[in-house]
Amino acid sequence: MQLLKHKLQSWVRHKIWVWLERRQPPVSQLTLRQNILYVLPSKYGISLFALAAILYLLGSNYQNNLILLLSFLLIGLLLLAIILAFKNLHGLVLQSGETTAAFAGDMLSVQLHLANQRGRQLLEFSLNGEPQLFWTLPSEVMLQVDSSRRGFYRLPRFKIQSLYPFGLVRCWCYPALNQSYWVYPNPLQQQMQQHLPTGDGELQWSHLSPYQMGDALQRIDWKRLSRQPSQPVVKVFSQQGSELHQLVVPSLSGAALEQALSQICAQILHLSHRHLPYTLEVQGRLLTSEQLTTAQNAGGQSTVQPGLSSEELHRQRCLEALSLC
Amino acid sequence: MLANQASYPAVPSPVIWRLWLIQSLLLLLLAPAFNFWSLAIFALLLLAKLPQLLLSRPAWSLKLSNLLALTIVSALLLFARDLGVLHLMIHLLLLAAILRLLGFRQNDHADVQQLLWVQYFLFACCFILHQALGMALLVFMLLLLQLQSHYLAFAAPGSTFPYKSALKTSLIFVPLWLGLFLLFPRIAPLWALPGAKQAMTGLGDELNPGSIERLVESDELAFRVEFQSRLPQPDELYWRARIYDTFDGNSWRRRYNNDLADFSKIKHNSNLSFSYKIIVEPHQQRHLYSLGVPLKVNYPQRIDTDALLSSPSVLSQRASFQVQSVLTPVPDFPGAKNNTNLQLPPGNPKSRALAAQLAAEHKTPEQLVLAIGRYLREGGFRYSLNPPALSGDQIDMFLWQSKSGFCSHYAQTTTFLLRAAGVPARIVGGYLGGEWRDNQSYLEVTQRAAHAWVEYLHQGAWHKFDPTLQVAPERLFASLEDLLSAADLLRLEGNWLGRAGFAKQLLQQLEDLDYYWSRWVLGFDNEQQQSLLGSVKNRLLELAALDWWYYIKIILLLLTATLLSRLLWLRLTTAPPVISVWLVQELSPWLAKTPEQTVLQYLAALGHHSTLQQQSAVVAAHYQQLVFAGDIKAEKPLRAEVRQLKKLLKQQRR
Repeated sequence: MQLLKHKLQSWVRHKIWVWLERRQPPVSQLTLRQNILYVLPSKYGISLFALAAILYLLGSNYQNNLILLLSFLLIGLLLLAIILAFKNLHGLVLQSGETTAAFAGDMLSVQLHLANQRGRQLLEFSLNGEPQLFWTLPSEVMLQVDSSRRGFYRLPRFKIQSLYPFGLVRCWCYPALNQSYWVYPNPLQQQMQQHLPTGDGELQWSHLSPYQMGDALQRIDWKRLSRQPSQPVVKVFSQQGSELHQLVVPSLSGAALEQALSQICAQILHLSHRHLPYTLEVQGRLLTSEQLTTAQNAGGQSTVQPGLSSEELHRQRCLEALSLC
Repeated sequence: MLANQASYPAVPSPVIWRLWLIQSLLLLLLAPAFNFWSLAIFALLLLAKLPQLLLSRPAWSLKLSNLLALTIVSALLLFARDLGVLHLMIHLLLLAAILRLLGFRQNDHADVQQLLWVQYFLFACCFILHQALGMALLVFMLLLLQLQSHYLAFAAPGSTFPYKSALKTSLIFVPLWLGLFLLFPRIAPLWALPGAKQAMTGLGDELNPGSIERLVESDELAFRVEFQSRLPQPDELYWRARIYDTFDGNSWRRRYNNDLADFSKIKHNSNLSFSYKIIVEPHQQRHLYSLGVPLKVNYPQRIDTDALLSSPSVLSQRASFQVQSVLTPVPDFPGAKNNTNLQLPPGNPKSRALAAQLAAEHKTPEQLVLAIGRYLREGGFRYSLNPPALSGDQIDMFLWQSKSGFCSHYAQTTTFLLRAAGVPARIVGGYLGGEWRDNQSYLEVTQRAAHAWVEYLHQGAWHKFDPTLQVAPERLFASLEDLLSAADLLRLEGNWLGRAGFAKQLLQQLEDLDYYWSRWVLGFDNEQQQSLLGSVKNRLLELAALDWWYYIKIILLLLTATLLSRLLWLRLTTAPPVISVWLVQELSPWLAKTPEQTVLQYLAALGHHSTLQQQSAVVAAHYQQLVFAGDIKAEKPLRAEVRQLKKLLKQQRR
């Protein structure tokens, strides 16, 4: 019996989800309007309506107009709560924020930008059944997403609801935004020592060269910059004694693949931390730091964030390739 | 899809203070329903909340609350059962509210929800006990506080009540609320509910010499009447309330009559028919008041075979009903046992002899009644509020010894004589006259107008006879105060207020206000709703009959009105431009100002450009005077000079 009920529930939920997907496909900017807002009385609203009904009977039986007035006051309050609860959500603008990324198992929050959010109270954002109550709305809202499995995901449909004011009426909606996030494989730290070069003192200062777009900010010669603001110069390090690390994703599947991906992920992190050069081969595709621009066009999904050095960009692309493989 | 209940922030402590205040005031308002020890217990419980509020002591545990609830409820059930169902219900509701407040959990929103729910219910209980205008306003004010705390309990913590938008919202809310009240269909009472139990007032079950006198001492309001037909004459204002027909030698007991009757088919003179609305004060009894024979009364009030009105339940709150009456003798129902109206206890031999003698001289009941009247008038009887006490053979003693009495003495004596002479007779208790108020728009009848008179059976109908008028005929036209001696007057209550002219006027105005409150708010019923709907419908029909041209005119009128008000609003709200902006705007057709220019630089450039250096220098000087020297008086000449400059520029262009 319990099972049947559960199945029925999940079936209904699925049907509604499908219906919502058709009716309200994800968009990058969403204004909460009348056709996607739902209003129904809350449990407390129903109990107060029952009280109004009792008072109506009481007032009729006592032939007491003052009790009837009180009863109609409660009914009026309910009707008013419908309007005010609707107004509390109506007109709120949701905008998808930047694509974010995290390693599997880490906390991952997706940022939403809100506009026209002033004067709204007690809005509850819930994603995957985890509610988050805002007393007043900030201009950015962080939604925590599930990051247990690697991959490239779209932000699932979430729920915004409010019982403000009086707690009599629940107004809610299910917004879906074109907002995605990456979950990289979980970096495995254990056997790093054997596989990885220690790399200490391997970096040596070689020469200075003019700044080019994509050079790491921390390599800019800041002292010189103050003297010659129009000609930034970067320090170039030669990586003596360190050969190019070639990382290859083995053609495995299942748990073995996950294990391998985790290890490679850890290696990438280590190498990029030491500024050591590396390449990654995934399913026959070779990623090197030189062919960034061409790969960018081929990759498609990857989003380049401004202000990243070429090295960081390479790292990001490699991690994304790992997530998808 | 209704997922888990939203979590709320904790209820802020100002809300708890408000709830405490509301409960304390509710206890005061509901105090008439309490007896002294239950009132004391509830007050103590409310005081026990103070340490929590002031010293932030922890709230009571559920166990303690339950234990206390059990004790107090059992104590109430054991020792306070005489309070009645309604009063016990009020006790229980308030107890639940107070105990919930004592064990209040700020983080559990169910607590505040239940508390608010019960308090709304208690407000309804307040309205059962109090309906007078002042009290009702007080309760509504407290209700506003409750609404405010309801809002704050469900709003973001630290937020204040938005008075401004609440005021705006009330512009929608109040019409909605009153519209619901006026238009929502009403149902007739489905079942009788327990009323508030209080001491009975007004005419009692027994009438004896002295009972009317006691009633008359009070200045309390009995009922108020508004006539829709012509206003009755003073001698027509006999308000029948009760019939007393069983005499035991000392007092008269009232007649219990449950047989309903329908008098609507009796023939009557339209000149003697009256239709009126009565608003009765609660007297904790069932009888109502009417003139003559009531033909029609609205449900659930009923008419019995004695042509008296009664309510199906005890009247514990103000009630209003519409009556149509005709002033004819009350028809006798053949089935009624008239031997009770001839019944007399033994005793009073002298009176019986007098009755026999009068009966021998006068054959018809009419003549007999007149003879008794003559006997009273010429026998040296006195009208007094303070007659000597009667004992033993009361009637004999009154007729031959004391010879002074109030209306009940005369009524019972006359009835005794009539019965002894073989004419069925009974005493009617009710009210005579009343005081016209607010330019004769309504009649106010107080207990002071209480009266007793006689009805005798003649040709199948009960005829009215008022023996008191034989002794004090002025009683019809003057109020009681004017007829009584100074010593009697001292017995009357409330007279001290009547002496101060200003206070009396104020009091009367307040009473008028209270009357209209009862008439329009408390007395709004199904019938008035129907007539309201009818008149709205008529208006709409009238509108529909109008020419379409009128509609266009009305629409045009509305449009222009809104446009004008909008313009006015804009004018009122938008500030005139700053003088520098205005100046540049005026002169911009000749030379546009670049952003880096100051106004003075601009003026100089304009002067140079148009070869009007002199005039532009004048403008610049005034501008400097106004802006930099802060000379407000320079504004007018500056504007004049700017216009002058414009004029010159225009001439130049030509």
